[in-house]
Amino acid sequence: MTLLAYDPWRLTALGHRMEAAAHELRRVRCDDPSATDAIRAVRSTLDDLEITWLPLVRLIIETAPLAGTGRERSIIEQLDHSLAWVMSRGYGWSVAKDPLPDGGSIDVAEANALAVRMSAVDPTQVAGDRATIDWLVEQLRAIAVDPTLSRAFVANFHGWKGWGDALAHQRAFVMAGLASSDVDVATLDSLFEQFAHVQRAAGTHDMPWIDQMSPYAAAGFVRYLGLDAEDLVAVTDRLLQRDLAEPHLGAGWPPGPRAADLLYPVLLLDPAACARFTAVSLPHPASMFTTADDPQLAYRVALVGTSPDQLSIAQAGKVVLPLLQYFADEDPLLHAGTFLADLVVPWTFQFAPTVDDWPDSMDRRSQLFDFALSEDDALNLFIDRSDAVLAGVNRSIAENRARRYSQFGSYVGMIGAITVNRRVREVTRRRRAWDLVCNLAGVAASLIPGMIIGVAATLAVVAVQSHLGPDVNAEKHRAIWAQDLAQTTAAAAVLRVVEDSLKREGSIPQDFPLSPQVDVRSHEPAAAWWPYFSRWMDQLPGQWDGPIGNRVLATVYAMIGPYTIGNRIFDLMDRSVRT
Amino acid sequence: MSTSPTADHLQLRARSLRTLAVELRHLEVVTLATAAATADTWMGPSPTRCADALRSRRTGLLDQADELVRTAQRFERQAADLVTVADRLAAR
Repeated sequence: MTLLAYDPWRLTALGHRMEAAAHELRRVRCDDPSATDAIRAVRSTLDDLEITWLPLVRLIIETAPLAGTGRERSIIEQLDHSLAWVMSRGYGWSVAKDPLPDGGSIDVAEANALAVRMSAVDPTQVAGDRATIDWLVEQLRAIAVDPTLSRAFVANFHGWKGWGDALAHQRAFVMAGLASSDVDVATLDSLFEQFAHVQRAAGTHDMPWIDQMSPYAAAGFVRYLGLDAEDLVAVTDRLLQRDLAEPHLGAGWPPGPRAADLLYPVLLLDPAACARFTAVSLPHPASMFTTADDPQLAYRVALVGTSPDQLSIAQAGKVVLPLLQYFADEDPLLHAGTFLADLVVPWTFQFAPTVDDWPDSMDRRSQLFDFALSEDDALNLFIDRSDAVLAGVNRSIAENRARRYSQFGSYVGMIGAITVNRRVREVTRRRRAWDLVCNLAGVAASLIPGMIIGVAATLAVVAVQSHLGPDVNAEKHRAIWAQDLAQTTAAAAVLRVVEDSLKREGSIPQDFPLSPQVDVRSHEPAAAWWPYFSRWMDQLPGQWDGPIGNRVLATVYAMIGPYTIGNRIFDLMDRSVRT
Repeated sequence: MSTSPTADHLQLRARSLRTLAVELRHLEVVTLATAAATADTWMGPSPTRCADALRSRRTGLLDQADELVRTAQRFERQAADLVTVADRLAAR
């Protein structure tokens, strides 16, 4: 049933004017043949008045209006009769049944009336009513396509908080399977969406209601508001801080998605917004990581936001380390799984002892790096993502090749200590870990000053990968051993490349003995390799002190330096120099 | 100036059409469309439909009035041409 509202006195006057107009039309005459069309238009107009509109007006005037009591009152109070309700209550108009069905269009008066009516009803009574929600979705959709209608609606709608909280409450119970009505999440979200679209179409940026309703309700609207990255980040940060600080806002709700679960998917559509949000959350990371029902969403935002696509090396230092520190300091129940390993993968080079890209101390970086990979799953993921590790290394090298060469030895040692590890139990993954060390040795070779990148790396990888990986089960499994092995492997790779270069330029003969490789099964790889290296050096023209010897030592020492190998290598070096 | 029965007839028709055009432009129903669409009288699907219908009728009537004026102007030109021809014939 559709209703119409009318001012009885004015409608009576309109009826009189219609009668006068009809009377006047009846008197119009012209016999000229050229006036045939004009006279036909006059007759059609008269027919319209006499057959349709005058009878309608008379019917309305002569029929008793709907009463404001009993069943007729409940009809007027239905949301789809908002215009009749507003005109009746606000202006004292009469209400009657409209013989014509609603054409589906909506005008400014109806938009105004719907807003006023929706501000007055109890939304909790509507949130479980599928038919009414469907109807509202269509009405708001019709309003949202017209800025004028949208502005009219927004100007007269004062029920944002009530509607938001009611819809959010219903959504929480529907998600938990505890709602008794047939309203589903998609239907509720459609209403959130159309509300937001009306707000967008109205073009007003003043939305105080966002901070008045529960964060979950606000998130229901915000995700459809089409905010730019800056505003989206600011609103999300504010809502999640409130969600953390005001848990009573969701008191009594069943477990399930919260504001963060609705907002993070929107953030993830914009990597720059993820970076901005992660940075903004640093002073209070708990709001970022503990408010979502699905913590993986927060992790994804953080990973996108800290990816090298979004941050420079220097910027990453200000974000990655504080995030690691937060998880290290937090309740151990906050189990981050492999997230922290993912977090450090692109930035491993910056954790190496001699790399000073980030201002934090070597000890702090080392502790946080170890913490990130302390879980077996995290270590496995780190190895599985060796391509991303190498990509990060190459990015760091690209920034400053000359400086990186001197830092590379400690980095290779650090990675070796992590990956050549008894904790890596699967054979295929162990092989992959060893491949990573070999590839890093290749990268080390590519960094040798004056060498052609690529050719050197290829040669080095071929040289060191001819060995099988170390049998970690048979070793002492100390980190120092793995570090020793990795650095010695890198040194051997570097040496092989230098040797090849010397032969190509004729500095040593083509039949000069091959440089020694590493015994990966040795308990002390560097110590085992060093005597063979010494003998090889002794055969060089000018031996240790000649220009060729100096050139070789400069490159090898960069890999197998004093940092983490231990005193044993110093002893060996001293002995070599003495002899 | 000469006269001709045909020219007189055309001028008579033109006057008749112009009178009708004026009448159409001042019909009550022409202003009724605005009154029916006034939001301080009635609101609802039928009032909207009524206002739309009367607005359409108003446009139709005013278009017809314009057409009547154009036809009257044509008749008046033809009548003037006939008078001119008659004058030339009389001058010979």
